[in-house]
Amino acid sequence: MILLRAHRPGFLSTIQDLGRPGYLKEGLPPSGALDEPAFLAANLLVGNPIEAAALELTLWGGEWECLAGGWAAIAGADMKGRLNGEPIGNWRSLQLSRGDRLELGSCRNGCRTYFALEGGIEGTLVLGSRSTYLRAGLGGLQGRAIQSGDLLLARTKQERGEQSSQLWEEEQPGQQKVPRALEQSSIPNYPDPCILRVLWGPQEERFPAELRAVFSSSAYRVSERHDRMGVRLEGSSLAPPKGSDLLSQAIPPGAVQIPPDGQPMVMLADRQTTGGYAVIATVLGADLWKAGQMKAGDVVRFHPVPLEEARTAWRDFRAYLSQLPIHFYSL
Amino acid sequence: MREAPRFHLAGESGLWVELGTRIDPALSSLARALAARIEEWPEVEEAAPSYAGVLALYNPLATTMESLRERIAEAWAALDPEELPPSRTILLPVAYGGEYGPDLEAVADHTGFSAEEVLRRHASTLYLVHLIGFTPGFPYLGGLPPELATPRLPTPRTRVPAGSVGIAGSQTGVYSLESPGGWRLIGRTPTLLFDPRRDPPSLLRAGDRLRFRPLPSSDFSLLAEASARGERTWEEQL
Repeated sequence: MILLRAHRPGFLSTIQDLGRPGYLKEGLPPSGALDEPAFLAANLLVGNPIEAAALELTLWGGEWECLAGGWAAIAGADMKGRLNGEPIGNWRSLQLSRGDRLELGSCRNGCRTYFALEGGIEGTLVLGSRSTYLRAGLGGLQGRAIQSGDLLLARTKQERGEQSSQLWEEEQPGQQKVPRALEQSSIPNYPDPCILRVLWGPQEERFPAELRAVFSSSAYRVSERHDRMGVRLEGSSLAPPKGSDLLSQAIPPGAVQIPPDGQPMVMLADRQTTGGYAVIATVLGADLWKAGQMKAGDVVRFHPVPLEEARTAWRDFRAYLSQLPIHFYSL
Repeated sequence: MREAPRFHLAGESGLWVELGTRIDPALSSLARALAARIEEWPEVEEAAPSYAGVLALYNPLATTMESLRERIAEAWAALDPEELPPSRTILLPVAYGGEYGPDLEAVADHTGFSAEEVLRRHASTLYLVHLIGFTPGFPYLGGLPPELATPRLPTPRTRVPAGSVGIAGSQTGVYSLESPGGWRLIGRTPTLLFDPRRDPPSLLRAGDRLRFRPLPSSDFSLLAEASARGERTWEEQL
């Protein structure tokens, strides 16, 4: 069992897992970790199944006190973690002992970091997921962000006294654990400027060739308005001449919506499920995690690709994720 | 002969199936039927119907966009209007006016009716749930009597309680969650439109018919508590 207390909870820390897809027609967005590679790396480094929930830290990570020790892992934007004052690095697992203090600062590149605990962080299971959806106040810890004084608990299956279940894999008895890390060559970077590959559509026909050229050749800056719902960008206007209104319809993940002011908005996991603004392009599934790491001031460029390239990118991305554990090494 | 759908890419895992460009109840029922059919296919992860189309999210490792497009076109051509999912009529209790509907008088002033007449006209209409979206459980309703149309508030409220029934221009709707908003509030339902303890969590579904049943203000709290306990506080008309 591992028990942590939030001494300072950071800017915005929520419990997330892979989300609850399948409820768009109920008006419920999927939620879930915005940076899947970093989330999975943290979970897998600590030996968790991919379905386990972890903590998503935003912009700065805060200070966490260990009340009962166990294995933890940290991956994502580099928050310059320190354990009892000593630098610990990133993309690695480590053993926490009772009384330890883990400090996570602010990040220069990227904005989200995942903190996994062995066994998975406990949280309210809603429609198959523990992900926190702040707007409806559901999942995670009472549907809200972690506050100072909150306790986070993680137990292995044995400690929960459960027999085999679908969610939790068998732990291997007698397995000696050592701290592990992800090879440098497999660590994603969070470059600024960030290039997001997109496919045109669904409503690219609303935008004349000149506007499409502006979209694919301009640099956009991330505004202060970015959260788990979406990222608002600032730059050359893309307002379509015949207006951007359409009949309200379901918004796909990664949609680049163009509201009447012409400033693009990339829709993320907590997005409203329907909208009435034309979507000029959709960010590739293989690049969506990059959008989840963008913060105010970052520069973004859109790079339209043909469908065949998007398919290959998706296949390569899934292969990269499934092979993450091959690239772990013992510290 | 049904017009063939137009297909648009929505990423490498999404296909937007455009069936039309107008609000047409017949078309939205067909969209619903098509979505229900598509969602049965193993390569499709989710299909969300809206006014005049369906968003299909699929696994691009299990199929290609081209074969999915073809399969959807065939399913659309063969769709039998007889197999439409059944439509329910839901009666939702609403306390009109007073603290629950602070803008009822303003709507009365704007429309030239008495508050009682606004209430009577609003509550005697059968509305159609076109789609659920925006926020969890929020119904986009069609059918507001045109004479009740009232512009939004000049300055939106920072906090509108969940369950508030409002009018905005020619639309009427129910806030499913507490949120900011500029709709004119004429009443409030004690019934939770969205309850994550239920599966499906949304009370209303696209295609449902909805009627508001006036509720004495004195009964509001009792029903709100019952709804919070997970009890059924709405009725289905057969």
